[in-house]
Amino acid sequence: MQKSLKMLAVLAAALLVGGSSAAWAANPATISVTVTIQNLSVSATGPIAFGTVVAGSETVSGSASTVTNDGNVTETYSLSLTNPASWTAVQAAPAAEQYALLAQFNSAAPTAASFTYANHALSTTSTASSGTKFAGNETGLSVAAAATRSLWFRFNAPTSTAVTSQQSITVTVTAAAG
Amino acid sequence: MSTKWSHLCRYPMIVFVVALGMLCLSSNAWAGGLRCSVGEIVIDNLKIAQAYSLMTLANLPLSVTNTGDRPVRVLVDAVIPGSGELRQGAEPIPNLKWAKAAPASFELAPQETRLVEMFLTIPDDESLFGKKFQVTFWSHTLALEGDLLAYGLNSRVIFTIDRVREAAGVAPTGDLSISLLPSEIILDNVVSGRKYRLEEFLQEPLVVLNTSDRSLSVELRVLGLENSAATLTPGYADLLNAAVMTLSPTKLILDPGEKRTIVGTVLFPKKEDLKGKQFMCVISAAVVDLPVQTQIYSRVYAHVK
Repeated sequence: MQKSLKMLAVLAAALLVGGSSAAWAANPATISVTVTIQNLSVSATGPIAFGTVVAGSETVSGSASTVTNDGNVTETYSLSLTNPASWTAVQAAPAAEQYALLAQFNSAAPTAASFTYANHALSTTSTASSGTKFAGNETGLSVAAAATRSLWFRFNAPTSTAVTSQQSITVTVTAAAG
Repeated sequence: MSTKWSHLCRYPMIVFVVALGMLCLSSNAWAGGLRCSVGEIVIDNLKIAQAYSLMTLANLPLSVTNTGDRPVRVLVDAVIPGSGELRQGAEPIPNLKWAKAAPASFELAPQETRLVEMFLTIPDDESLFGKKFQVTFWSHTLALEGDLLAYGLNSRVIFTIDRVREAAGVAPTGDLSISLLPSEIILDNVVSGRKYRLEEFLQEPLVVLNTSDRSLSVELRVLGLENSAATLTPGYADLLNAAVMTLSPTKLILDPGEKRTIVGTVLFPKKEDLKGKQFMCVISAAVVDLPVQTQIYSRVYAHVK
């Protein structure tokens, strides 16, 4: 009898411990994949013409690029540039071997004075448009599907340069949902 | 150095002037662009010590199309999102080694499409339990010589880590081979107290399409933002807290290639305090009866007159 009771007690204790462990173990949750925003699309026209530029000058592009949200959701544009081999972009008045490239969304050709380094200068870091960033009388913020924007540039040339070969600057317009 | 530049080398300033002018005036008019199939994905309950392909997990490639009129080279890079790009309380992905795209570089002819596979690898680290991260897959072109512009698209991937490890031998799969279009529905100038049919606001009907090669069971639901994986747009309130929206049908089986039109209604009760307000919800089309739950959203925006 005592042996049976002892065995029962051991069994009960084992069940208690085992039951507790089972209560603490959890099953892996189901993986869920949701596409919350579908197609993104952006297009632009070119070329961007600056005409003749002299050292130390600033020039507004002679034409704009028409940037179109041809996706089916609202998009915000971010802009960045890639430096050429021999010059470095700055976000202030450039010195030797430096340049500044500024971008503005505006329905018509903006004046050179309407560009500001604080709001319009491009850098190698992709920067999102806002109510002020890259803004003129248009913005690249929350552009509705099928809407277009005119993107203008101002180029501030190096004050001097030892470069004698062609320099290529690339501006990337990146669209994100929202 | 090419012949046309050599005689100008004695005059570096003139060379600079000519170079920039010729750089920008050399091209005829052109149009370029890029399209991709994913703006934002939310993935819940990935497991540590696991590697995932979104193709395997949900039959979900990143489809990239050159919409321009010239061939382009495209790169697809995993990038750490900036603080202004983070959504739903996610942290930026701690290490870019967790994410990659394949192929990561390719050429596209005009109007050509390429499918890119997105991979996520979660380290074997229990400190990641319950966390939420975000990574951006940046699809972008390289500018052609003489061109100023290149184009890019940011596909956001937000993912959470489950609080337990995956069971041994489990390789979950799902299939999100459906489309739900249009992806945005705007209900403009809605008058409270009047029941509208959704079709009154649509130029094209709301259609769900099975793009796979097998039959799929699909369920449609209207979801408020707090019960969805989407982010509430600033300035908008949850539509389902203010109105009633219905859909029909809500359960269907689609054969390969089959599409079905979805109809619905929306009713804002007659209340003065709804005037001028903006609301948002999502319509979810979910593929059911598979180990991985998959769904795709169409967003609904309502502006009450």
